Amino acid sequence: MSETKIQKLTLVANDGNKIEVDRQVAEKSVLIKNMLDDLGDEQMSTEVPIPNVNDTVLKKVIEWCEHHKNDPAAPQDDDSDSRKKTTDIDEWDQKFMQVDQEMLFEIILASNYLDIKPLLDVGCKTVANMIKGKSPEEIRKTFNITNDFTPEEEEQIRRENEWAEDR
Amino acid sequence: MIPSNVPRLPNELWINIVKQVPRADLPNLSRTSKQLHEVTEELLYSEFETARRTPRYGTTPSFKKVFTRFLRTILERPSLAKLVKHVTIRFPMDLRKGLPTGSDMSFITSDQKSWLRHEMRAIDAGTWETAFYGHNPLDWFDAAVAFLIHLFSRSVESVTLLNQRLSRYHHTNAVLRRAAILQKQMVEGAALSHLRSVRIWSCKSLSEPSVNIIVPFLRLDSVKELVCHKTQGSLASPALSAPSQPWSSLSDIQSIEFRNNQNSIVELAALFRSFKALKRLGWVDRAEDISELLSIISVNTRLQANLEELIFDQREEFCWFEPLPVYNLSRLTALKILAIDYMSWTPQDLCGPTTRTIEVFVASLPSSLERLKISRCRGGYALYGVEHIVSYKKTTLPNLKQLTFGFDDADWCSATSQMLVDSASRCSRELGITFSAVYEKIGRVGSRGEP
Repeated sequence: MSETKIQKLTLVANDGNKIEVDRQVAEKSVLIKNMLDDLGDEQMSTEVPIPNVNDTVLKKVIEWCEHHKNDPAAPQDDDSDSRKKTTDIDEWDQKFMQVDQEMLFEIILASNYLDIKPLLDVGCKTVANMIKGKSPEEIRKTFNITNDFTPEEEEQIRRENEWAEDR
Repeated sequence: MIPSNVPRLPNELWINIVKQVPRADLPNLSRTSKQLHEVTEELLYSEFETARRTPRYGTTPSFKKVFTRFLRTILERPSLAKLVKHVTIRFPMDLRKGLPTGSDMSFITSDQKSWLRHEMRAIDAGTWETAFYGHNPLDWFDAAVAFLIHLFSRSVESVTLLNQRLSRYHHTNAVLRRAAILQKQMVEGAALSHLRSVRIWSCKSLSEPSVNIIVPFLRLDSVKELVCHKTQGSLASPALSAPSQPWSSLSDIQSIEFRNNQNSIVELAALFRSFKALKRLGWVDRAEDISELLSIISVNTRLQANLEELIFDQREEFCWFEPLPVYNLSRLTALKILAIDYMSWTPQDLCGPTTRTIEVFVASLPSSLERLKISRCRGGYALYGVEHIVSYKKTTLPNLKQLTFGFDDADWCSATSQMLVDSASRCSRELGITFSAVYEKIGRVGSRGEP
C-alpha cells in the first residue's frame, strides 16, 4: 500500500498546459493538500486541474512554492499585530514580487484560490508597501483603478477623513 | 495566455491589503474609488487616536486639530462613531496654545449644538456646555474627552490615556460613573459595555483625589484589564471606600499591570482589597518594590486564592540588578504562571544556581504551577539549573508543563550554550515538560511598552 504513495503531481492550468511538480511542493497549497488527504492516494488521480489559474501565473506560483518548500508551517497567528510587520518581506520574496501590477494581482488571486497563505501575505504586503506615501491619483495609476467619484464626492470624503491625516 | 484585462480584487482581498497599510495612508486610499472607500472606512474608523508618537511629517497635528476635524465629520455622519473600537488620547502638552477658540468651533450650527446638548443630557449638560464652549483649557479638554467617551460608548473596546499630567476629569468621570451605574443595574446595552481594556500611561494626578481617572474606570463591570504606568496618588480615594455609592462594590478587574508604580503601599493595599477575583498581576518595577507588593499579597487571602498569573519584571526604569529577598509564593494556591527575573531567583549565585538555591526556590512555589519563565538569565551556566528544577515534577511541582529561560546577552548564541540547551530540552522532555531558551532583546530602558 505504502508503495502507491504519490510522489509527483501534474497540475493542469486553465489553458490546458500541464506542469509536473513534487508532491511536497504542491502541498504548499492547502487546497491541494486537503484534496489529497480527503481522497487518499488510491483514488487520487495524479492530474489535478486548476481551473482558475492560467499557465503563466501557475508557473510563477510553483516557483514560489519550490523555493519555500522546506519552510516550517506557519503558526496560526492572530492578526492583532500584523500591521506592524508591513515591511518584513524577505529579500528573495521581494525580488520574486517585482512583477507588473497585473501579475501581482493574479498571484494574489491564485494564492487565495489555492489557499497558500504565506504567498497571499507576501502579495498583500507588497501591494500595501506600494500604497505607502502615495497620493490618491498615484495609487490609481499604480493599480489601474478607475476613479468613480465625482470631484464633489471625492472632496467630501477628503474632508470627512481629514482628522486621520498625519499633518 | 495572459488575460487582456487587469484583474479586479474582491473586497475580502482588499481588506487583507488595507490591514497592512499604515493608518496615515488610509485617508488617501479611501479617496481612490468607491470600492476602496467602502473597504477602508471600517478600518480607518476602528481606531481614534490623537497625536501619534512617530509622526511621518515631523510634528503631529494638535489635539485641537484632530478633535475639531473629527467633530465636524461626526456632526454630519454620527453613525461613524459606532465603528470606533480603540481610542488613544494623548494629553496635549501645549493645551493653552491648542485650545479651540470661538472661530475653530464656529462650524457647529445651532441644530448641531442642540444635538450635542441632547447627547450629553445624562450628565449635567449645562456645565458641560460651559466647559466645552468656554475658555479654560483644562475644562475644555475634560469636556472634549467626556464627549468622545460618551460618543464611542456603544462600540469602544479599549481606551488608552497618555500623559494625563494635569488631569481634571469632572465631566469624563461623570460619563464613566453614569455608565458604571447602568452596568451595575444590568441595563441592556448599557454604555461602555464593550469596554474591556484600559491603559493609563504616565498619569500623575497633581490635584485632589476626586479627579482621579483610574477609579471610575475600575467601577465599570465591563473593564477586565488595566495597565497603570507611573500612576500616582488617589487610588485610595473616597470613591473606593464609600460603601453607600452604587459604584463602590468590588471591582471585577481580572488583570492589572503596574509599571513604575508611584502609589504608596497603603493605596495599593486598598486597591487590591477592592478586587473580586484578580487573575493576573504584572509588576514591572524596581526589585525593592516587589517586597512591598509581596507583603500586600501575604495578607490578602482573596488574592491568594484567585491569582493565576504573576509577572515580576524589574526592567522598566532601572538597568541594574537588585537581588530580592527570598519570597514565598506557596500560598498562591491557584497560581499557574510565574515569570521572574534571574536575579530575583539566584541573588547570590552569579555563576549559576547552586543546589541550595534551587531547593529554596522550588520550596517557595505552589504545586499548582504549570508554566515558569525566568528572564535575563546570565550566561549559559544558568542552564545547569534546568535538570534540577524539572526533577521536582516528580515531587512538589506535579503540574509543571513548561519552563522557559530568557537570555538578553550574546552568550546564549554560543555553541556551548546550544549544547546545554539541547541537553536541558532532552531531560525536560523525558519528564513531559517543554523547555525553551529564548533570546529577548531589551528595548530602550524607560520607554518599553509605551503605546
